[in-house]
Amino acid sequence: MSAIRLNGVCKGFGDGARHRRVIDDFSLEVAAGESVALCGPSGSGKSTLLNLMAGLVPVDAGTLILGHDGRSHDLSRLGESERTALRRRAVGYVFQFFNLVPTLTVLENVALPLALNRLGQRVPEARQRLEALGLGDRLDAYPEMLSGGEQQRVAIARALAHEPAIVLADEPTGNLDARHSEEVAQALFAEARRLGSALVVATHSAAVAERADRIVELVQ
Amino acid sequence: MKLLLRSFVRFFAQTPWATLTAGLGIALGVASTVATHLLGLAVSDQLGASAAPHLRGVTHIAERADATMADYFDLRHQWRQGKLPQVEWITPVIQGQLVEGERRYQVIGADGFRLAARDSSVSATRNSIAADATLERAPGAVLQLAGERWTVAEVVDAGLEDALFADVGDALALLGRPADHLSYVALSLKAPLDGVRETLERLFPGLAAGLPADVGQLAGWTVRPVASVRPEQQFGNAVLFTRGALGLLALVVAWFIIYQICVLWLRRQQLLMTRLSALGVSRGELAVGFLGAIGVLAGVATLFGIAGGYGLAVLLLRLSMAGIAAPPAMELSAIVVVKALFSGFAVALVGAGVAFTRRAPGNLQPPAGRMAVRWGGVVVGLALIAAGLTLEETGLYGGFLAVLAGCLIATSWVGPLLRWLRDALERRGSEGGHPRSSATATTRNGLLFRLAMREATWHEADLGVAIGALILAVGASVGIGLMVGSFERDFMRMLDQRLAHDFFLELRDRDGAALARALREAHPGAVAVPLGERSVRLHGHTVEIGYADFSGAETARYGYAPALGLDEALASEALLKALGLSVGDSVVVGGKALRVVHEFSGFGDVVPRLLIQAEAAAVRFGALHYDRLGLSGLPAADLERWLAEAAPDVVVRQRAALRTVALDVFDRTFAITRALTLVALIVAVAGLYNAMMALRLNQRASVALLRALGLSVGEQRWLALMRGSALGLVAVVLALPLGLFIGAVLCDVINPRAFGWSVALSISAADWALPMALGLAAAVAASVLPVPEESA
Ligand SMILES: Nc1ncnc2c1ncn2[C@@H]1O[C@H](COP(=O)(O)OP(=O)(O)O)[C@@H](O)[C@H]1O
Ligand SMILES: [Mg+2]
Repeated sequence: MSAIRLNGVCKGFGDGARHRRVIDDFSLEVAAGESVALCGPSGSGKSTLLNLMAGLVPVDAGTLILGHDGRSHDLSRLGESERTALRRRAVGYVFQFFNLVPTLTVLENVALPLALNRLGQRVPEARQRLEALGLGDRLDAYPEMLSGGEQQRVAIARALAHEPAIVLADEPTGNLDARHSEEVAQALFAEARRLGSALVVATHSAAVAERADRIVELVQ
Repeated sequence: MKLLLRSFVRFFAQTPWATLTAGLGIALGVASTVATHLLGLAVSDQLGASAAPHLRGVTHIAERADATMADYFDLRHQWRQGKLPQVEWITPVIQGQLVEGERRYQVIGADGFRLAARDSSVSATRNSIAADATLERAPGAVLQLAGERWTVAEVVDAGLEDALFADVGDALALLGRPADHLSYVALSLKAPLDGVRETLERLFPGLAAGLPADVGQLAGWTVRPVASVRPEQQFGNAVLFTRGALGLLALVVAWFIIYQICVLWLRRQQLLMTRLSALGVSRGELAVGFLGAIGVLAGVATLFGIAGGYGLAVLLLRLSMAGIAAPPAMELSAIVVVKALFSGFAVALVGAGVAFTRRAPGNLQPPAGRMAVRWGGVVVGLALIAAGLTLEETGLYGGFLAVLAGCLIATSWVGPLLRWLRDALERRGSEGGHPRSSATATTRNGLLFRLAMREATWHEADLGVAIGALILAVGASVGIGLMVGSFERDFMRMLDQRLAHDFFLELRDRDGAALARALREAHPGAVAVPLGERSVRLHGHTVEIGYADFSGAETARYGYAPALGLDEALASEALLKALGLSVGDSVVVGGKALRVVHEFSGFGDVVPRLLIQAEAAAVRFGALHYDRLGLSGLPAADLERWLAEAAPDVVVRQRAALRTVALDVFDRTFAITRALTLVALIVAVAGLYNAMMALRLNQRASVALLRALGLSVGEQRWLALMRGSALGLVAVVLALPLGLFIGAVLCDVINPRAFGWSVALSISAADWALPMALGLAAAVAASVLPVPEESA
């Protein structure tokens, strides 16, 4: 069973004359443990695709199936609240910026998905992961006190804390310089591999894309 | 430059909802300003119109023992010579009682009261008088007085019962006094504060009424402000002042809100500004663009506010005057418009300017030194409160200054309380000195609760002013509600006591004692108590002496159980205050001493009252005249049958009807007050919603993030609910003590100083719970209600 399967997915925005189809008849399959890089120019629909996979926005047509707990879930047939519940459990999401809740500390940000999934007992493990990521002395810091690279590493720890079957990352290194970009990408791929999660990364960076098992090029 | 302004104005168009609410907030603030001003003016006009004719324009009266006309002419001579520069004009007044058969009149003589008949059908060149409306005589009516015929040339609505106004000579003739008799001299004194008083009155109608009256001085004379001889004017002044002070409160709340809106507005434009500044637009140009844009918004909102405020004032006045009198016409004077423009326009610009010069939303730590300033402010505030409450001379201003200081202290603690709450919550998470991280909440509700609390307590800069305004509005509503409620309960208790008789008969010119005797003979079960009164002057005060057979049942009507002894008296609170006496002291009336054994509250009595046994009155005043008969123990039908034969002209008033009338007056007095506090509350709620909306717009990214983490709609709502409840609780927790304080000051300080009676503060849940619940609900609603642009 694959972790993600898109079949003839369509998505557009705007009504009437202003309607514009952003994703047109798109198909893709990602196996469990596999990593895929989504590449393409700005506006080609990378973020939209990730949002569709996360169930943040509904598909217009086609099927979008997530594999989780040995079962297939067809997002196109789920309502908003069911998609939310599935996302909470099965998906980890890393954004380009504004990844962390500003009023929660580093550790609390990472504990949030655990708490939401009633996995509070796993907080000590999450703590160890943060330490392994070199953030052991920043556990009680608030996000605004962290550098961009540190923030992204926390975001990665948070996206993977509840060991989701699917990890989605939207230009996770877009805001970072080459050296930090390298560190963050390394952490992201290593963590996903360690947990056997399927990873989809939207990126402009060739260095990041090269780490993926497969590269999918989107055209405008 | 034009392009810059266009970019700012276009920003409005792109955020229509936020623009609408910001405009609505400003318009509401302006509307409340306009409405309170117009209402204050309307009430002022009404009270001013009923001034007694002989005292129009009079500021002071001067008295001396055994004064004669010669003394007056001497005074006038000095004045003409320019030796009394503070005196603007001066006139003699004659005052006394005329008993004509069973009827008593109060005769008032003043210079220049030789009346030419207004009504051309009345030829009244000689022996013409003016009659107070309470005498119910039409112009042209003829009265037989002191052996002569007198024609009523004019009816005046002076509010003085049974008063006749005449020229000095006529008054002396009517009263049978010698030609050189003088009661007192009425003066108009210039005071150094007159300019201030006038300006203040024009800006805040009613507020000048609370200024302490100037103490005039005239060698050899005792000079007193006119209010001391006209207690009803004092009552009116106090009502006016309370109205004025409430108007000021509404204005302050409105300014708070308008200021807050501008700060938030700026916050929302930060991104646009950063971009423009990156393009090389200077800070000055940005300021002009920003201020210009807010000016456009404020200008439009102010116009709507003026129209809305006018409508609100007309509506409130109609409602509170319904069925009583035609509401006075209101017009938008230049002053109102200027005040509205200032409130809407200038406050908006000043707020925007301040916001622009110190824009730094990062506010995790309070700037050092702030706490010292705050504590200093608290000390000064407490000193002001102590001075205002203990120094009787500070009058109404002292009382309201104390209230104001209380408000400032309460609102200045919003920030610290939010921070303290945040720290307390953090400490709870790290008990026993463990680092916090080891005790991180790991349950879903625990973590969400913590998140909600931080969201509530971290945005002090965004929400502080709005919460402050909510505290003011809720606190004032609680305080005023407690006062009105306490007053109502006290008043009802008094009514129940006073209206112990089933009927009160207005005797007109009949002999009350004889009528009571006849009634008891015809109906042995009936209790009939003749009641009479007479006004005398005691230590320079006009005092009403009430007399009756004060057996135990009759004294119970004043809350005193035993029968009254011949040398004992019951005194109203106003009398004790006016004469500086307390229970147990003696007061000399008619050459003989009376001991005050009990004090009673006389809400609505404008004149100080002393109650004595009828026999004690007879010893002092000779033959007694009774005005009313208190009657119980007789069915209405029997009474009417008997009256139809024995005394058809007597007017019967039933207890229930009297009660209704009294409560009606009470309701009318407080209807506008309640409406005004409601206006302040609505403005505060709108302000909070505004602030909350801006905050939530700023947190859009945060919301998107939580959604991506799988937070359900229900959990997001729960988060908002918790946040709103926390903010509402902070507001309410600070508003409750403030409200209790305001209520206590209103009951124990402002009421006695303003009206001469104190109200026993009784705390009923309904009075404080409703505004508190409203405040809490407002905070929750502001937090939970949808923000239309949030989902965009
Ligand atoms: N919520 C939305 N409403 C309207 N248009 C959208 C929305 N989200 C994305 N788009 C449009 O869809 C297109 C693809 O956007 P996006 O998926 O963000 O591209 P990418 O991430 O590859 O840069 C863009 O033209 C964008 O304007
Ligand atoms: Mg994108």
